[in-house]
Amino acid sequence: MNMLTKTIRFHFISLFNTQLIVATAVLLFHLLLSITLIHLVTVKGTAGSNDVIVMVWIFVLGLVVFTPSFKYLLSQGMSRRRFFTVMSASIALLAAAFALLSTIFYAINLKVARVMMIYEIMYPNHNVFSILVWEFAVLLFLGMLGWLIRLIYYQSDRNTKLIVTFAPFIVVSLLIFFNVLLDGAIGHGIWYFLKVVMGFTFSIPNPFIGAASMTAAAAILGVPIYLMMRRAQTKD
Amino acid sequence: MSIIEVKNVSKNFGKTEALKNVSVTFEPEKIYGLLGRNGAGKTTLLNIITNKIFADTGEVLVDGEKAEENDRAQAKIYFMTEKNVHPWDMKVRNGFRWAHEFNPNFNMEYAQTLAGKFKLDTGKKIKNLSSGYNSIFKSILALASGLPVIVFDEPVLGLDAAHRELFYRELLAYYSEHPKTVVIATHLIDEVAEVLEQVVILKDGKLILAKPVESVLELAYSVSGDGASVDQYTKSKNTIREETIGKFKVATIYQKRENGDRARIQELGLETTPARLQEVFISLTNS
Repeated sequence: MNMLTKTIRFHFISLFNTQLIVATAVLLFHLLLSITLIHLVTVKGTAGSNDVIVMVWIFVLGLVVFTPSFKYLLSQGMSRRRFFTVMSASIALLAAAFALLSTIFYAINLKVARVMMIYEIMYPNHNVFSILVWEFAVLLFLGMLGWLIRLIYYQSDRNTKLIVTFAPFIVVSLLIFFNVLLDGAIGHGIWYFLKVVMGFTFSIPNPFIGAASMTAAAAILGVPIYLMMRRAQTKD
Repeated sequence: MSIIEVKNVSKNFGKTEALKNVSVTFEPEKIYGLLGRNGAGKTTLLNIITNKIFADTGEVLVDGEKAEENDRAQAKIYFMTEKNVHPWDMKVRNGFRWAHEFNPNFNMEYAQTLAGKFKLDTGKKIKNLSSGYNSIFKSILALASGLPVIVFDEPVLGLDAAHRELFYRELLAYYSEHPKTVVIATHLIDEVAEVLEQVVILKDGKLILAKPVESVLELAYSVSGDGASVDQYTKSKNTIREETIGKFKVATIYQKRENGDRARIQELGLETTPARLQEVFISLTNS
């Protein structure tokens, strides 16, 4: 437990610190920009979303933080199993911090300007708690996704990297091809699946179903991450 | 007091055999020199011992426990790597601070004293340190770690002569007060020879020698003089190196001296000199 808190502190103070400051500054800038625009423009409407900023941010952090953290913590005698635990916990805490940050900025925005979040577009019925929970789950998923992608590249040789890079384009192209062949059945299937897991099948879309699905998806991503972490070796 | 046992360790990188069935024991409270030419497998062996990479076959034990993926075993070893492992914008003083956080044995006071002796600016970012000061920073972390096993990979890389001397002095001073198992992988053999008690030599991934320095140097000596006389003397000897300049020849022999050897050398008009560790190393790794 002691090592867990130490490592989380290390991540926040030595690796996430600049990112948290910059993300806060960007959110602040976004807020000021929204206020300025809404007061300058006479047409009624909404300004862009600020939760996208933290979504992109945590994904990028998931991508970039793994290597320096892995190198340093392994040099401190930490095993890979423990590294997996502390890194997952750090991403979860970072997701919570970013969710809180974007919710606070959203609340401020509501008082001074009209800023839509992605969440609002998806779930019309909302409150601060449901926003916080949903944002946390999405951010956790994106942070883990960033980590998984980085790890795949880290563990791959040049040929595998090429395959991994082009595979999504090939898979999507094949899906589109077969979707046309099957009269849109694949598209409908995917859309129905997304509607179910994101809680859209209820008369009022349920954000907690979406949050639970995203958290489950993050946990599922943890499986390949753990399996790859077990045999990860440091590289110069 | 910790003992490291390397048992039948092999490691391949693609088609390259980096380590071939290496078995060696690093006993407690001794200073080891891990020597080998570039690509001999020194860093690979150290990386396996310290759980940075995995052996393909074989195992490493620390005090009888498997070293691989074992937090308790790894908590006994500090590895000063040649590469920088610290986050890119970390300051030296924070490097010390985090070392103390993760390792309660880390002696902050001693680290600060050493930083003062080496004139290391602790307010500087690690990425802005020169290569010499980078080595100094990492060496300080290792010396102040307080762990029973300290492993150095090229500790004096980029250091000027004065700093190198200071490093060896500090290492010996600290070792005499707090005996530990110290492993030094280096290319600067002549400099480190004075400090070493044991020598481990790797060649092309194979262990070719693991002995006390004293016994290695006891066996090695050079004879020089007229080429024909040198040839006559070395005919039945284990000659590991020969060098000829005109009629003059020098041969390095690695074999226990027999009773009649001294008289034979005199009889043939040859001169004998004790061999340096570096000479033995070059001879063994070239042959």
